[in-house]
Amino acid sequence: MILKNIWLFPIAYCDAAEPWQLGFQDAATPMMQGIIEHQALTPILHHDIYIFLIIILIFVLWMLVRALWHFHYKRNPIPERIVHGTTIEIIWTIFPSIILMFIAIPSFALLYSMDKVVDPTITIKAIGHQWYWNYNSSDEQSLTFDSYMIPEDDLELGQLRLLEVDNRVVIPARTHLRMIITSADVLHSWAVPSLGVKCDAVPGRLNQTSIFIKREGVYYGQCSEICGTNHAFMRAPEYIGRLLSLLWLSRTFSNRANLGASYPKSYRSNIMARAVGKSWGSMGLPSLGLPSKAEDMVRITSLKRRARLKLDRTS
Amino acid sequence: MAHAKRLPVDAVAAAARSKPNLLREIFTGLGLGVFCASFWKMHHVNERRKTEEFYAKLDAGEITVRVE
Repeated sequence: MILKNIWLFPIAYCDAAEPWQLGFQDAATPMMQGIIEHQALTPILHHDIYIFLIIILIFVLWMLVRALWHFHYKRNPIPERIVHGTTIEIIWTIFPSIILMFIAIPSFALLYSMDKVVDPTITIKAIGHQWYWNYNSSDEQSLTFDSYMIPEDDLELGQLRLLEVDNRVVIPARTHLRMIITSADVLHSWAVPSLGVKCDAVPGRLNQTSIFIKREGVYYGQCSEICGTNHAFMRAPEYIGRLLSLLWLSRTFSNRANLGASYPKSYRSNIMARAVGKSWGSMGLPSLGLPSKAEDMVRITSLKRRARLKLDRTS
Repeated sequence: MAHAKRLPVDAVAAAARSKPNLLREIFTGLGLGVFCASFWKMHHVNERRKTEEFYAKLDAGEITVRVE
């Protein structure tokens, strides 16, 4: 969480709130990159709007200063008696509408792309309580745990004040995820700025959001809907582990008996073997000639598809 | 010789001679705005390039964000 340097210095990513921070936290998902800057085939928003903002700001300031300069009472003792000007009024009505149209086009494109949920690998439910989050994943095995903020007195050296929790959500990187957010009592909101996610937790309603995280790391979030006296002390940090996070896999696959109705043993054993560092070649799978992370993605997707087909045939 | 004080009639005459041109002011303001926005655009392009380089290197395995 080192402050990002500009110009010549290499980037160190900022995934938590920083003191005196002015800008956004660094993006870790295509959605957040689309909100801030540009990613290939993703419309930009903030940087795009900022260009119009600077032009209009400088223009308005210029007109203001020049009007004060030209029509100063000493330089221009007789004030102008302009009542209206039809042409200029039409221009300054149409021109802002055109600017708004240029702003709206990338904005709507991004907005609709946010609602797409691409075939997620895992689904995690986050249930808001006063004043903690309960996480539940029931894809492979039912896994549920509470996540409380660590009080200031119990922090260890290096931990962030008012941001750390006792149980982090561990989810894999470079995988499509679905988050289902709801609440057990009052309104909450599950927000992680680096991921570009903010989803309201409404009691009696399930809200869905999709995440695809591009890099590993620890991402911090805070409850974003007033929910009572300890609203400022509800946290939502996530640990984005390795693509084959041992922690995630061990929690997911720990009870093999329960997985009888789920994916076949060969799929699980291949994933576990890869997780402990074995290569695909040692498992009898030929190399695809791709970078290791891309090969991991392709292999896992292919194994999962084959396992699903096998399951369908046997059921 | 003492500097002659400017009379109001002189000020009116000067104002009538140097009436501001609205179109010129508008275009000057827009030009300045575009000039300043070009710096922001350069910053944006630079940041995008650095981000794409980072993810390209990360995917190629040249760099890692993991603490070993």
